[in-house]
Amino acid sequence: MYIIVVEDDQTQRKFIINTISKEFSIEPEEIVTELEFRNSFEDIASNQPDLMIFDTMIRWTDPVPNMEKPPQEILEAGFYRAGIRCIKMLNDDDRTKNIPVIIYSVLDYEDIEKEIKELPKAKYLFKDFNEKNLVNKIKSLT
Amino acid sequence: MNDLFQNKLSEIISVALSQDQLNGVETILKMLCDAVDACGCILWESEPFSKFQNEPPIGNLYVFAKWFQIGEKEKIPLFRIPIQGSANGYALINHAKVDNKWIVNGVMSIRDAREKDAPTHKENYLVKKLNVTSICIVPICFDCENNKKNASLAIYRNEEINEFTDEEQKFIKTIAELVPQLYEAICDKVGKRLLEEANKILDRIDISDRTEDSNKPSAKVQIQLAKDSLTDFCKMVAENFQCVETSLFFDRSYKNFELTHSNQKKYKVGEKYSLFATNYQEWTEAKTEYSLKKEDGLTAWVLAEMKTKTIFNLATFHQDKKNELYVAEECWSDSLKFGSENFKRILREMLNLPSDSELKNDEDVPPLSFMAVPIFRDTKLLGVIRCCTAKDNPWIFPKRHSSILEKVAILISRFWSNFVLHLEEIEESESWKKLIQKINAQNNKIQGNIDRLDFNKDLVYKEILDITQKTFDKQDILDIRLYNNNKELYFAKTLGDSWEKQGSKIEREARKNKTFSKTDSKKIFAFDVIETGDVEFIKNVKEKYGKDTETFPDTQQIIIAPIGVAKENIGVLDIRRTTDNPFPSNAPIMAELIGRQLGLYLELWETEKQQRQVFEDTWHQLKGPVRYNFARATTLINHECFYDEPYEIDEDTAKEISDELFSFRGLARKSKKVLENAGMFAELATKGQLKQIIGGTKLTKDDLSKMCYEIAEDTKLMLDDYRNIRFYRHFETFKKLDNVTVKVKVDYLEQALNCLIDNAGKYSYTETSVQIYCGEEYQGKRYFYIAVENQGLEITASEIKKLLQRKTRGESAKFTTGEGSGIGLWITDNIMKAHGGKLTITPTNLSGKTVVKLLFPISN
Repeated sequence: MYIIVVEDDQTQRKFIINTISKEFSIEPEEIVTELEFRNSFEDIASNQPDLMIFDTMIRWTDPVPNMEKPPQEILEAGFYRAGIRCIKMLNDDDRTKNIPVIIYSVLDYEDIEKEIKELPKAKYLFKDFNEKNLVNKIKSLT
Repeated sequence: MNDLFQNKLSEIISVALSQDQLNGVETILKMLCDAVDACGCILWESEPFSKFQNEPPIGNLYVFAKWFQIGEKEKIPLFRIPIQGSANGYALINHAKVDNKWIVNGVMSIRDAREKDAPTHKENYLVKKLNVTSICIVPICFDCENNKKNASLAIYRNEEINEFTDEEQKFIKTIAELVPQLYEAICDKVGKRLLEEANKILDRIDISDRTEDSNKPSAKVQIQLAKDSLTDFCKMVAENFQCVETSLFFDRSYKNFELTHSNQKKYKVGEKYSLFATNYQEWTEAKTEYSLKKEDGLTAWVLAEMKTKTIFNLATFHQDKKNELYVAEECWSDSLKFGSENFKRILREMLNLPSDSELKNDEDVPPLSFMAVPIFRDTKLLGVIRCCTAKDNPWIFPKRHSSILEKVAILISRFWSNFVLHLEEIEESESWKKLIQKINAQNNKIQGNIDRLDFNKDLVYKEILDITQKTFDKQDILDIRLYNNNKELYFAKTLGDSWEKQGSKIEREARKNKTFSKTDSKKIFAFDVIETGDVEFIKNVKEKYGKDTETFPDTQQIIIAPIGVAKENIGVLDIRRTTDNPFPSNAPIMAELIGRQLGLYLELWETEKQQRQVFEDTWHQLKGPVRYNFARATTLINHECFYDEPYEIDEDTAKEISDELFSFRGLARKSKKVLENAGMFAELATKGQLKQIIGGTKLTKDDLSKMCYEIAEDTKLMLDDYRNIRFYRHFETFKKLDNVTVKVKVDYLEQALNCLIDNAGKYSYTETSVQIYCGEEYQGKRYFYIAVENQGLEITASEIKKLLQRKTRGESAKFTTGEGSGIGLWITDNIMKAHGGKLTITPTNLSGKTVVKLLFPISN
């Protein structure tokens, strides 16, 4: 099973990775920033993961000298729904639109209901850090 | 003179003085004919430019006034005879020889005339028509120069037995010589009455009421009222001057008059003078608009020369020009088409003259006369008033008439300048009222949108441009240009036909996607506007920038107004006009208002968005760690080691539990920091500042060291391991606290250090270290400082001031670590102010290091 976790918070990412490793005996791939996601998009399209798990808010990039600035519209829109923006990119591409996705978020469902409904392959899971709930959701989608 | 004639003389003078119409001369002629039993009388005057002394003499005599016993004077449509060969001409040429009179008894044949050195009768038509037997002609002086007689009074008798006696001749001569003076008296009376009536009509147009009355007529109504009254005014002038047409032309753009020079004098003139009122509506062929180009027509000639002009006879004007009788008047075209056959037909109909006249060469129509007077207010050329075609005797506009018209022009000028100013006030107030109504409606809508988080910038831009377009009618190039990340201007929104029509689709797209940097000299004024905050109004683009400077070559005028609040301008509102119709004078200030309003919307939205982001961020930052902590705590509580009997914890389990607890502390600190920030944000948002710290706890090196250590460790825990950011305390420097007294509020200090160390961790480059050290600094007084130095995202000098403002993150920081609402440094700055100290940020130096210091006043 090939799973990619898109999460910028180290402690939370570790929780997800550990949970998956323990349950499925696999090492999920980690993506930390939106820029990294965008740069990996072609690989994602060609490797077709079985599942992707997204946080809703992820940062654009890590601090590096002369770093790449985001496009104006991303600066305008902000980072609070960057995860959903990434899922939309998957949804808009024929090669990736069928990849199952979990939106693993501390936001309540009602807060992002409208966006989720536009993404047929994305399933919401409340981020309660309950291993069992996460595992069950992954199993239901893979 | 015998008693009979004495009495008749008195009677004629008395009646003449009672005349109040210009054609009153006719009454004098009638009474004269009655007195001497004559059948008719004509007052002939020589045309201007006539030359009596030439051989042969040049010029014509025309009918100034006439009366015939047979009535129906239209049946005798003779209006002009040549000087040469006519009895009257002969009399005028030879007046010295004939003792100022000349008598012809009977009609001479051409042969007889030659033999007797007498004139042939060019008046033959008249003589035949009336069966004239005797003519008594008296040369007189009518507004003549150097007393050279230029007119003649001819009285005709058609009864053979009745030759003019000496007594009669004396009587005729006396009356004839009085006629110019009597006419002058009539003119004075007409002039006086005309000015009185003019005043009455102008007073009728009430522009004095400038009260705050909301029911005050609108500009449109005021204009119509003025038009109606000035139409009556033109009718009145036409009636008094007995002319076919009187018209008024004005330029309404009073405030936009351009300075020009005429005869070395400075005048302010408008661009186009349009027909405002006329008594003569029927003639649709006439021009209704004149520029100051002489070739536009006679009226334009008057405007261009800024002088009163009188044309004796338009029908002969072209010929007269050829004969150089009018100076430098090669310029005009007959805009009124007076010379056309069509007009002559109309004129005959109008004057009830027979159209099947036996006469030719314009002898059967009176002169087509014209006079026009420019209307000035000080040095401003407001317009022109013109009168065309006298339709009763005296059939022309003598100098005396144009003098009266000049006085009328003065009255009009007073009225018009007041009216225009008043109108501009009304229009300005109306346009402001409309604009404010539109903006109010927009405000309500935008406020609602912001409250519902439904703020669509693109839609707001469009609505702002719609308002702009409606406010400044007749322009088709509008755009909103805003700064992008690189401080270049891009087109956020465009509107207007020119944007959609000019060039191919690809060119149009390219134009819209174009950005402008400050080095682009053609657009430099937009950057000036952003920097200075002053509106730029280019009244004449072609004059200022030539042909190749603009994307839209038809641009005539440009207004560029800043978009932004106070001095924080973020773009420009660009409005361009391609038509000749200039922007109203209040356009720049209105454009500024609209630009500022858009700036305000964007600012409001940003504030609202940021405010919500603070809440959302706080909520988000809390939710994750707290829930995670709870989940970890549950896992920990349920850890199997606690249920083993006896509790045996091996080394690995101890490490596992220790790591969990350590993680708890980090997450708990983060939660505490976020909560503290939220509380301080609320306090600062409501009170503007934190309460001043009185007293406080003495800071020791050990306390500070411990605090720094814990914060650094916990921060490190939250950072991605792969970035490998290291934290160093320079404990040696902390010992400074042994020698100085620094009092702090511990919670606040912890919060401030949390902010600085957290920021340093978040924004440092991979594989770098954060240094924490202390020292003393003198800035007007002694300060103890705690410095946090890191190597990471650059902070420029220009950013520092902004960073200390509410909810602002560094340019680069905005797109790195997602979390963080940008209130940390603002709160820290206020924490330091509450301590009587300060926060300083040293811009990133060449080695890439940034130093942030907390400066506390030293108490001892």
